[in-house]
Amino acid sequence: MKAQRGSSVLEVLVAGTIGATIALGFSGFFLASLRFNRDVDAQAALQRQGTAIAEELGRRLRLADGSPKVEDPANPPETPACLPLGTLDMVLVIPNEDGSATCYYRNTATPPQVMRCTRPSPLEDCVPAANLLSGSLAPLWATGWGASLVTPCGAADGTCSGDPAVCSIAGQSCAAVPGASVVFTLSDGTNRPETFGVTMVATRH
Amino acid sequence: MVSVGNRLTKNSTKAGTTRARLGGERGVALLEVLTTSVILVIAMLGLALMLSMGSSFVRAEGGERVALFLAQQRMEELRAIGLARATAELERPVPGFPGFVRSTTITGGTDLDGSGDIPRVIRVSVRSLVRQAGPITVTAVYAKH
Repeated sequence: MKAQRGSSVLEVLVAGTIGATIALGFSGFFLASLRFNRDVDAQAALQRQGTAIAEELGRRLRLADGSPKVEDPANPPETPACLPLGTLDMVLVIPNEDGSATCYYRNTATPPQVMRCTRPSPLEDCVPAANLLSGSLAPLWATGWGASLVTPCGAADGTCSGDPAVCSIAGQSCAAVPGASVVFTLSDGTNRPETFGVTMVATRH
Repeated sequence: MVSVGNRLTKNSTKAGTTRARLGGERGVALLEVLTTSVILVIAMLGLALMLSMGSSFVRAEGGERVALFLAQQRMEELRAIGLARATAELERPVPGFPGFVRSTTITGGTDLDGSGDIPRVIRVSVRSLVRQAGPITVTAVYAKH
């Protein structure tokens, strides 16, 4: 036995412990890298999708035939252009050249999505309802949505009051609605939600 | 019966034999393993730091994108008012967007055609307070036709 070469139990145990610690460290690092890559991919997909939606909104707003409108489901107008829709948020209405209206809104179902539909006339349904978050590499949902109109009065930090509305800033109009602004927040459930937005004024001075 | 002195002599002889046996063996010493581990840990820490920095840059990019939106938004609002009537604004927080400050500066441009009408150069700057995110400036030039 004395002539045989080999390792004692203690040596094997020490080597095994060190080996296991190193292997655990490496595997943990490897798994963390994989998770990190997945998160970064999801974040990139989210940013791409949000930017694409913002660009589409800007393009449509630029081509609007007339002033854009905003409809509030809580206080709908007498003759709505888009409502009723499956949302509790503001709906952006973009009038088209052929008399139809394109409606952008956040579907407040679960999970909330950014939707677009076109209503040929107020008597017809708003179809087809396209989900603008579909086709993304990672599942996304809209955690926030806001649509507002840009008026010269609001742009000058004034407020409109009275009927007809008069701006608190002299010389600024409350009646003219040259553009609209949309802000939305997307989330992939893992990363920090990202906010996107677009503001477009059709009437240029 | 073995005396104490004899036992010590026997143990010393055994230890010497073991040392001699280990000295002749091929293998990796504990010190070598530990040194390698330390080097590997330092390398992994460097990689982890690199990944972390990448993540913070992605986050900062998000901040810059929002800053660009806010700058464009203000410029569009100024267009709604009329660029001829736009006024300068000191740096102040943007309502509804915590962590962002916005300012508007208006300066006189160069009278390129010599008509005497100096164009207005309107700059809207938005700065994100997120680390590593640079300021975003959108510029418009207004000239009479």
